[in-house]
Order: sequence, then structure tokens, then C-alpha cells
Amino acid sequence: MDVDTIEAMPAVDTDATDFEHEYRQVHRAAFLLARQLGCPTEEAQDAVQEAALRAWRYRSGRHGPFRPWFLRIVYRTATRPRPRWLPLPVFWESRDRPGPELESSVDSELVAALGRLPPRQRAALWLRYCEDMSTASVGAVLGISEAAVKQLVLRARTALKREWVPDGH
Amino acid sequence: MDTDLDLELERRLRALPTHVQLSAADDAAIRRLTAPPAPNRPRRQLVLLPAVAGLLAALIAGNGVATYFAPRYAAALASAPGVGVLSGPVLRWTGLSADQLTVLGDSVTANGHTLQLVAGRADELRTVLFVEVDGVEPVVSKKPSRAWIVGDIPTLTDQFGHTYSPSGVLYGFNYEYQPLTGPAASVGGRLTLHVTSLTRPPATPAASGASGETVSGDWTLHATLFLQPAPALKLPGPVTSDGNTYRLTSARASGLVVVHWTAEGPFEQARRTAYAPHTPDPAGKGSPGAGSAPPPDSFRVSVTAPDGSQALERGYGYSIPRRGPITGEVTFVASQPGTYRIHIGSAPELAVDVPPEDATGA
Repeated sequence: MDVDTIEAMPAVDTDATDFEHEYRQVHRAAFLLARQLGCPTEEAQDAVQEAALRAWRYRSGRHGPFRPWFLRIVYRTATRPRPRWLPLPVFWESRDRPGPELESSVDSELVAALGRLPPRQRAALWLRYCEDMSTASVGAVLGISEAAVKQLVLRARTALKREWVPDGH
Repeated sequence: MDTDLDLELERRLRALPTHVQLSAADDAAIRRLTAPPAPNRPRRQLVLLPAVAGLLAALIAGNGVATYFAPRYAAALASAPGVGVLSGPVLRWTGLSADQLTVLGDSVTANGHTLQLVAGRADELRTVLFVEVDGVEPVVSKKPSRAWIVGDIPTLTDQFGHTYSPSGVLYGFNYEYQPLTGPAASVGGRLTLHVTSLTRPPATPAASGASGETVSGDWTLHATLFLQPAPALKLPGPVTSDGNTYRLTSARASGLVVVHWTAEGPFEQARRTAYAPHTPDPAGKGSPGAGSAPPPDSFRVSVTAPDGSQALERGYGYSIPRRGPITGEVTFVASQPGTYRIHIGSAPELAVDVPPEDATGA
């Protein structure tokens, strides 16, 4: 299922106030999802802005809850291949370097281990556990079936366990 | 056991959001993502309304045409809550956020091409205009585009006949001019942007010898903008290095930060002697005598952003008057609030605090 499919689904009437309310509920999760997918800070911000714009334009085509629908658009935007060959000024390029990753003084090992996973696995774990989304919702965001989500999460957990050396284990 | 480890892993993953820490840059980005949308935000220009109601009526009548022609891009974006008018990279170049821009919309078609003024801003540092050609959304893309862009730098005039000098161009769609001046600075500027040519790159790489295409024409676009303040920033005290004193004399911010500085001390005279235009230079290269002048990078300015990265500098320069201290200027983009550290040559840093947009009155 891709974004266009989602956008073409039956309409849900949403006015600007409702849209803004929904957006404000999910924008932080959307930003963190983009960061989990490996976007530097500014690209993550751009991805959420662009997704918000697309969501607003095609809001009448939304089907189902706002959160997975919007995160799906963010996912598509953040994972879209970024062209790399326009001659930008050097100083401009330097601002596109990856920003700092998440940190935690409470569980730094886990955060570090999470950071070493492939972006897609990291995003799956983040959505499933940190955002507490159902496998169906994670599937809607990533554009895969529930069964595929379960497999992806399982692989991600296995990989995370290899990377993670918790205290006392 | 693996099961125990799985459970522990899951428990810790679920707990992550409660203690994970974001960087200052990430926090700032999230705050920007919920900035109030431009259309709903009271603007300082409204304060001027009672004083110039008559003139405004005329200006608004003129802009009614622009509103009528406002096409899908500006209209959709203008009404989109919580999102920007222009893409992030475009805005970062200007140092502005979406809510600092006035959505415009005037468009005109000539020679088969339609130009539209998408958005603009006038403040005490500059006048910024974004132009869209043939409905192609302005973007800073790394992919060479064959889209038409404005060719020759357009001329900008106000209703009082003043012509503004251009001060910056980005990819043929973002134009910056000197700030509004004269009566237009007081009552608002009804601006006219006159575009005379469009251009686009060749279909094949430049190495093949192909040249781009150009279309001449007459596109006249109108916008009404009101001067927004560019508040003065609090200046740090002077710093000294090797007996030379560096001092910031002014700093103003409005997305862009313009800082003026002076330097005086022992090297001042040496520098003047070595580089002053009237000084005969046998070598013909303006090279100073050994040991008589500071090294060439004495006045190279760099700026460090609050997050430790190098701020996007738009330009710097200095002059050596016959009398008095050496004076210089640096302009950089303040893409985030916080402390910007200015380094002039090897002198100790001079720091200026750029407040959040709201605090600057933008």
C-alpha cells in the first residue's frame, strides 16, 4: 500500500482545526520517526513539514485514524531517495551532515544499540514499542502486512539483542 | 534465558520515551514544527492599520487583484495549519520561518510563462521575495532541474519611485533587496517587481557545450509589504588580543543577523600601511612587508551556531579607513535561537544572543 493508495481512499471530513489538532498530537512522533529512519535534524524537520503539507492537501482522502496515516506519509517522505548531485555551495552541504542521535542517561546502552540497527528495523521497533502502536498500525505506516511487521520486529529484536549488552546480563 | 531477556528488552524499549533526551537542535526543530500558522497570527503590520487606514484601503484594493489570482500553491499553503509556505531548505537560506512570511499571490503571464510572487517579507535588514515560474514549486534540489527560473535580476521599485538594489539571489526564485526606505518604510511598500527574462539550463550537461535557453518578456508583479523590525541584539564587551581591541558596534537580527565590528590597536597602523590603496606597492601584489602587518586572515570572520555547527555565512568584509579603527561587517543566517559565537581572526570570540522569533518581534 503506498501513499497514493491511502490518499485515494474514501473521504473523512476534516476541517483545519481538527487537522491542526491531530497534527499537533502526532508531530513529535513523526519527527522522531524520521530521526529513527536516519534523517539528520533538518531533514527530519523537512520530512515532517512536507508530510504535513501533503496530508493537508489530501486530507479529504484519509481513511482511518490520523496517526498511522500521517506517519505513513512521513515514512514515505523520509525514506524517499534523496538526489545528491546538484552543485550546492560547500558551506550549504556542511549543514546537511547528520545531527546527534538520541541519548539517554538512564539506558544509554539500549539507545546506542538501537542506533546501530538498520533504519527500517529501528523504525519498526520504535513504532511498535516506543510509540506503542499495534502491529496493524505499524504495518500501515511501513506499508507492509501484519505478518511482515511481526517478522520485521522479530528480526529487529534479534539484532538488537546482539547489539545490546544490558547491565547484569 | 532468552525469554527473560526479551521481556527485559521490551520493557526497556517501552520505557525509552520517558527518559530519552533530544538534542537542542531536535527540540528546536520540534518546536518549529508547531509554530503557529501565518494566516492566524496577528502581525505587527496590523498595528499600523489605524494610522494609515486611508492609504491601506488603496493598497488593499490594489492587492485584491493578487488575491483573486492566488493559485493553488500559495492558497493551499497559506491555509495549511502548522506547515511552512516554502520548503525547509529554501527557508533556511533566508533564515526565515514560514510564519515570518507574508503569503502573496500576484501572478502574470507573458510569452507563455506565468510568474507568481509566492511570498515575501520586508524588514529592517532586507526585502525578500519568492518567485515561482510556471507553477513549479521553489525548491533547493540537488537534482539539476530544467525548470524555468528568473534570468536577469529583476528590478524592484516602490510606489514612490524608489528603486531597491539587489543584495542576494538564490537559484532564480529567491530575491533579496535592500530594506524599504523613505515613505514606504513608514506607510508600507507597494512594490513592483519587474522581470525581463527567464532562463533554464541545457538538457545536456554544460560540458557538452550546450547552452541554456532564455526567454525575454515583460512580467510585472505587485506586492504590498510592511516593514518589520529587526531588533538590535545586546552587544558583548570588547575583547583584546595582542594589544588589539575588537568590538562589536551593532548587531541586528531578523532571520539574518548583521553584525558590525571594529578593530584597533598596534596592527591597525601596520595593516593600513601595508594595504592602504595609496601605498606604492613595488611587488604589485599588495603584499605587506615581512613582520609589519598581521597575517592575511586577521579579519577572516567565522560564526559558530548554538549547536556548535558553522553558521551559514552570507558574507563578510572589512575596510581600512585612513583614520580610525578598521571596520567590518559579517552577515549570517540565524536558523535557530541561541548564542552565536563570532570569531574575528584569532581574537577571542564575541558572542551575541539571538532570541526566539517571537521575542524579536518578528
